[in-house]
Amino acid sequence: MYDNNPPKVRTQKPVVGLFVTCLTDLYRPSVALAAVKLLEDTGATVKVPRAQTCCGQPALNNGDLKHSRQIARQVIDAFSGFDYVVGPSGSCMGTIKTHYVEQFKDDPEYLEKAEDLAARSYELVSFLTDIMGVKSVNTTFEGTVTYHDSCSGLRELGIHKQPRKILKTVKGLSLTEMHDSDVCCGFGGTFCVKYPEISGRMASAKCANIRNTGADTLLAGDLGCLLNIAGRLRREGDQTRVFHIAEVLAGMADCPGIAEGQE
Amino acid sequence: MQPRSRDFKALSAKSMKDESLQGALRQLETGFVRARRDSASALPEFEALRDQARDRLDDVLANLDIHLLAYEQKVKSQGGHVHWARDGKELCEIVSKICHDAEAKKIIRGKSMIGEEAGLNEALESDGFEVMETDLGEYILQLSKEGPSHIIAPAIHKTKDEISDLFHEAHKAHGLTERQSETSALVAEARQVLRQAFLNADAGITGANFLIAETGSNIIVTNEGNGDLSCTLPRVHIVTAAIDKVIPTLEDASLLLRLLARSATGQEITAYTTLSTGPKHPDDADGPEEYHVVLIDNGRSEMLGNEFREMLRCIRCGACMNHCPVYGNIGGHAYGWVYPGPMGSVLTPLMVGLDEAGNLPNACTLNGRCQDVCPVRIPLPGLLKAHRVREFESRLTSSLVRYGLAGWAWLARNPVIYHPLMNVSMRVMAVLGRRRGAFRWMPFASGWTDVRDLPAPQGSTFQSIWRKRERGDS
Amino acid sequence: MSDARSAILEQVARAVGRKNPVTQINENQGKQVAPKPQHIRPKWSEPDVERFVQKLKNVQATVETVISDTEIPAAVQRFLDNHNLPAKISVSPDPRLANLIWPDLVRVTSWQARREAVVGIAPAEAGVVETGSVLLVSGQTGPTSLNFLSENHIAIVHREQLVAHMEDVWELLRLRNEDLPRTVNFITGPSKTADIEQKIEYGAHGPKRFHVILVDGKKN
Repeated sequence: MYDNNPPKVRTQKPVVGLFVTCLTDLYRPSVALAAVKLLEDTGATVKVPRAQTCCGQPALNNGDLKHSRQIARQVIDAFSGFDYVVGPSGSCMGTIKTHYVEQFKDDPEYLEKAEDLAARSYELVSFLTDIMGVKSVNTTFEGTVTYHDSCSGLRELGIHKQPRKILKTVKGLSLTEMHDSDVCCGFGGTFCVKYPEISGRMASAKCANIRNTGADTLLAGDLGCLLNIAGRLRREGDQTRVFHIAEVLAGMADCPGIAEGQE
Repeated sequence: MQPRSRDFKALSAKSMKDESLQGALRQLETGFVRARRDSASALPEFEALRDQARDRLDDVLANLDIHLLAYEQKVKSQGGHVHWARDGKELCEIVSKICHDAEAKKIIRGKSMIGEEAGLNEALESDGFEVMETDLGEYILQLSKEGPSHIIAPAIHKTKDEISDLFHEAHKAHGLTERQSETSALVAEARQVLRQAFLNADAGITGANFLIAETGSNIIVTNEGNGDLSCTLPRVHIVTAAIDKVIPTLEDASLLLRLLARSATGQEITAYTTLSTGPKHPDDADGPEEYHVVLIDNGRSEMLGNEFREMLRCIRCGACMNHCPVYGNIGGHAYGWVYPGPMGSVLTPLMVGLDEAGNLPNACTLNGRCQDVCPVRIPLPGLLKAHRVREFESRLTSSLVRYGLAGWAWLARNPVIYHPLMNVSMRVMAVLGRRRGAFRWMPFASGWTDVRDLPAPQGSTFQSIWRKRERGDS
Repeated sequence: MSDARSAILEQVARAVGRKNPVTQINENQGKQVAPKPQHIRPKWSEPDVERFVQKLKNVQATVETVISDTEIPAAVQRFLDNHNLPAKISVSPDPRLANLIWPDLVRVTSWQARREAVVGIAPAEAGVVETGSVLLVSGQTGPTSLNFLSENHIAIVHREQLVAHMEDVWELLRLRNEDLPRTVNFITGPSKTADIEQKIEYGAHGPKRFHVILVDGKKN
């Protein structure tokens, strides 16, 4: 599961296909813009295939394999030519990296393509640190932040140290750990609307852990979790600011945070 | 036990309002979770042992029939009896007949999930036997007429106060009239009452953590010593165990024992690890005269041949539920049957039907914490997803979800329509949500907005912004 | 052959991909399919005796080390005194304990008086260093009930009986060249329960105290 031997950078100026993810595309384009900046800063050329929409998790996680495979094929085809495929989400990239292959056991053509795509696909922050060797960023963010480990990124892709290491190089930023940073926030895709009461309690526990750190800003690497947590924070009247880690790393957190009004 | 998994939502809502349950669940985190982490990190070989256990059990399962036969042969050669039961009903009938034939009236039980799975107590009681649970937690539940809410700590949901009342009422018959309120006094009182039951019992029924083919033994692990008394004092010792409990050798037992207690309670080993092999030898100072093993299938041989085979590696440690954030909020009873938490959400639909228990595999965020701590590395989230596939393919998934997914999937596969449509929608939402930055309510999204605000989007979609940038660039 | 048996075996055979179900095997087939495996055994750096004692103490057992068997009765007396226990002990009818000379004031009752056994004493077959477990087995002179009915359980372990792992116990048991004893107990501490509000209480059904007298041979 954990990729301990990442391939070496194939070229100094790789062409990276950005997997925008549906939530980023719809809700928070600033995260994708930040991702583009971070990738371009490493010398990579970023392309954004228009034929992408979603990774297919809603179908996959509801047992609808027919539609899930159709969407997976679309993603596989859309991202066939790039050196790397990178997205600002552990959940979507985890799906592409680990769950596409599982779906094409009986389809040799796409199995091979899915394996090929899996080998080229990375979550944004781990791609920057592990593949492109980025050790620091030249940006400033004044504030105390706490970081939530999104489950898929943490457990499917082994992302834990990378975001913390690189966040520590942001000027003005101090990182304080919350209790149970690795416990699910209660999002879980369609889980959160199927079982709202349970989901709400999980989110509430997460909010309490965030508050207890005294941090003024919450960061994470997955927009699903962030929308859920930000939504719950607002509902509880909590004004903690919420950003995707890419926005902070790219120095683009000067816009309103998630669920922040512009009065 | 009549399954109530259909009522999952109502049961979980009730559990979330139960303050004493919530208090008990909060202790899981500081108790079992921390203890497991500490004991695992204190053993450098722990991760390698998990790999080895997984691989070994896979090998065992691939030849399960041979191991079962070897086990059966060995038990018989030592004067024990082996019985086979296809389901819980057959198991109850067999146990009842053994007790009847042995003229056993008073029966004591050591904790066994198979007994719960088969509804053994109820069956034996309706056949006129006097049955007493001896594990303290199970004894408490027998008095309160409830099922277990955790496979390791069955009465975890009961408060000391409730237990005081139960004991006060039940123990009057034993001449113990004072209401005890201290834990130590309650334990002492149960010890006194159950000691008599141990000494008077005709038959003892225990489960088995493992069955060893090489020696024909069953192993039980306990901390209280109740199981050990149950298989030593009565004339008849009956073991109820599932077919997937068989392992070939004693070495396999020690491998799995190193994982079991650490994963369950954070102990290196439980206070008692006991191997029972056949009836007492002719000259033995004590021990039972009869030794019976009832092997139950109850759907396991079918699992062996389908996508759920890996579930048969389960050693019933309970780590998955201790670490499950859903279990941690709703406790065990909400799952509506014998097995709660992630392992229960995999097993219950297979044993009581997906139509009854369809909620269970869906009530999971797929966060993967269970798989992370499973000592035998069962891919629990993957198995829960396999249930969702079965549910979808057998059209048990609600039509709202089915049509919703079909509509969404169609759109997702037509980017030419998807992108402009989403762009317009998001821009409208952004304008509406601009002031507050989030919506308190949204039509058709009450599942979201009942418990949290819906953050407003920023405006144009990234695809439309990027398109403009590309045009501008070129 | 019962119907259930063949039905289950048939289904298992199908599930594991056999063309024909297997319903009988000869004695060697089981062993051929699963030869004795060599699994990982934990390692440690501290001396064995030190570890064995520490592991027992970690689980609220008590340990006293003596030099020779003749000191056992005095050690038992100290245990009784420490816990204000009546001078009445039940001793396992094991020949290894037969020659001990008990002080006059200690009344030795037969182990059969098990209902009221306050202190039960039994010789161990081995001590497992890995976990601090004590091995006791049933037999003509080894009543298992003594290990569980006594309120206070004292096990005598000799230093040379210490083995590293549970696997070494398996080898010891195999060396007996017979079927296993009816009951094999690994005992690691006193009886306990956490079934009431997750709070540990000792002496749930079995002994409230577990005391090991470790006979260390010459040196001390």
